[in-house]
Amino acid sequence: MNDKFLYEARPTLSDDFADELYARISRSSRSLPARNEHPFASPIAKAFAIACFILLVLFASSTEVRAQIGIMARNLARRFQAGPSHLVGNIIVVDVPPSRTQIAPSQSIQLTSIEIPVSNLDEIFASHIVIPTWAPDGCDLNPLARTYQGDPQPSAMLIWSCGIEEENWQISLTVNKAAMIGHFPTDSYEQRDLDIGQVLIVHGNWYKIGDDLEWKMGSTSIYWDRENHLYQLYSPSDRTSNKDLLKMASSAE
Amino acid sequence: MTQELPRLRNLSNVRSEDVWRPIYDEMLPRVYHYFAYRVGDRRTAEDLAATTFEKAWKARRQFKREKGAVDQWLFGIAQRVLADHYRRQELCARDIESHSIETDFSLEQTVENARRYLKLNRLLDNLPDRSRELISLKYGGGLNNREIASLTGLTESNVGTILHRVVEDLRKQWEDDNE
Repeated sequence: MNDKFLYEARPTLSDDFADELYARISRSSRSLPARNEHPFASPIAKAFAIACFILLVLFASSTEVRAQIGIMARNLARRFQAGPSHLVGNIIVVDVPPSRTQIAPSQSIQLTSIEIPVSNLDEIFASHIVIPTWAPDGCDLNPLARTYQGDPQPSAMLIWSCGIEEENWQISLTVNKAAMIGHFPTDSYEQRDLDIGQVLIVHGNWYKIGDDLEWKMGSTSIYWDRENHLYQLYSPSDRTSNKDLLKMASSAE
Repeated sequence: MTQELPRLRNLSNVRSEDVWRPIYDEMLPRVYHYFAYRVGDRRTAEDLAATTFEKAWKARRQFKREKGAVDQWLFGIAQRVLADHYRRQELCARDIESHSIETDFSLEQTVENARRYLKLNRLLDNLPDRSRELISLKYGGGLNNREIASLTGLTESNVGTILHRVVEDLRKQWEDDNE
């Protein structure tokens, strides 16, 4: 079969095009993501960031006043007819019903946020921030972290972008220089010992419905406490398996 | 096709830039030629090749050797990019007009090369979509029949049979046009 003509008809590829494309791809792996791909542009990430800071303001404090938090937790538990409170690591967990009235009125919180290179986080927190060194296949850590410079303490959110195009999702890591009281329904959380210490695995999240909060499954968070910092590794969907999320948390260093 | 190909085909991952560069050098012309035969337009072929490599770079951690060699993985992405392109443009392969290439000769490209490309595209425009896809994968992308079979869902012998028939038809038309 004489098919030589089919090879000879191929158009010449411009060297300029090849070089420019390579440079563009190389640059993209080291620079900001495109505007429409910004990890914080997603409504889920925005909602999660807001939720984190409401939690921060409502629940957080420094470790020095942890005793007071314990008292507050018990008071809150009584107020919302919740179950007993207990400690998981340094995290105070309060058992609550899966549907309840909000624990406080919604607040409008103005926080200044800036993006900084992940490598500069230690400087902002004046301490070493541990970051997972392993991520599931197809997940890339965004080189910039969003930090919030508001009261009472700085905090930061790191994003791993996973998948491509329509099939994309994100995993986030939130770091607060604070302790936490977690209000979780019984059976929605479990305690586990990992290389990084004791962690709290929480299946589900609160969603605001009218004036009430409803607990819905689907997402997973892993909380741990290290050197007075509270870490929350969060996957908003079941696209990341619990096994992978735990492996990711275990790799934090 | 370079001598790098056998080594690239055995790569188990494509994550680092050290590995990426030879893959890029080897595969960009092949992916570009695949699109050039598929859409009949050099500029569009460049855009689609660029999109393919950008997606491949982002998804490089998802590459799994056990599912196929790196060239099959890249052509799988290229096929999805092409499908997206058709969807966006609301075109199908047979509707694509080749008018833009009439004035699309780059300075570097020889007139003879451009003339051959134009002539072949006129012939490819008359092919059924599946036949054009097979010709593009084989002669643009440089894939063998087995690799084409795995990308198209046809059997290897079916690919060989269709290609043989289509190439014979094209060759006759090509030679008729020369006379």
